[in-house]
Amino acid sequence: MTIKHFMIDPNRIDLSKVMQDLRPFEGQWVAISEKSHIVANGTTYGETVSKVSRADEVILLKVPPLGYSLAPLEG
Amino acid sequence: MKFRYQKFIIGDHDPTKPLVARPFIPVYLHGNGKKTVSPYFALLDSGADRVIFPGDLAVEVGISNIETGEPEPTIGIAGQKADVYYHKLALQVLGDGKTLPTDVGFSKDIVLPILGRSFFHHFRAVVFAEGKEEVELKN
Repeated sequence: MTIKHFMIDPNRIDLSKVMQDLRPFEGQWVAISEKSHIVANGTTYGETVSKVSRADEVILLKVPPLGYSLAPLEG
Repeated sequence: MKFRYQKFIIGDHDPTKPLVARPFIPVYLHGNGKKTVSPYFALLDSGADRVIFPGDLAVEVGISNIETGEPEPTIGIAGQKADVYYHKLALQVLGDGKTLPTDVGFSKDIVLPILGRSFFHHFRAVVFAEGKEEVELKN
């Protein structure tokens, strides 16, 4: 199935392009544009999205601690 | 629906070392007649039992106090415990019109949204194509 009916193509985003730019935002939310640009940040999802002019043209990311491997959480 | 993995650094940044690729899926959260206005990336985690999101997302769907949900003991692989409270909400994958009823746990203790196997149940198959560094959700 192809992805359609949305304003932003998530497969165009390449976070590796902004990995160093993400460092100051560890633990925060950032809004990423389709061109892999950081266009807003904040300590909460709500604060971050409030700074975005076109909410349908970004995807938010809660920046995890960078430099670490991740291990699963068991419910 | 196919989504490319997103690549992150591990350890001190060394350009000669490969990045680690992780399966992030963009989703919306629905509940109480509300919906997150922008999608957000959540880590698809086949080792986790449940869907757990950072607590600040709850207010976006009208939940002012996450502790009004059903508490469930939760522990990470290193033994770290998290206080998680579950609410009956729904998820929507970016690019798909369907909403998927899901028990969503909220916690102030976790560092990123995770989609555990209770999310996988909505799909006929979830295919991790490691060679292509992409994941496919098959309806």
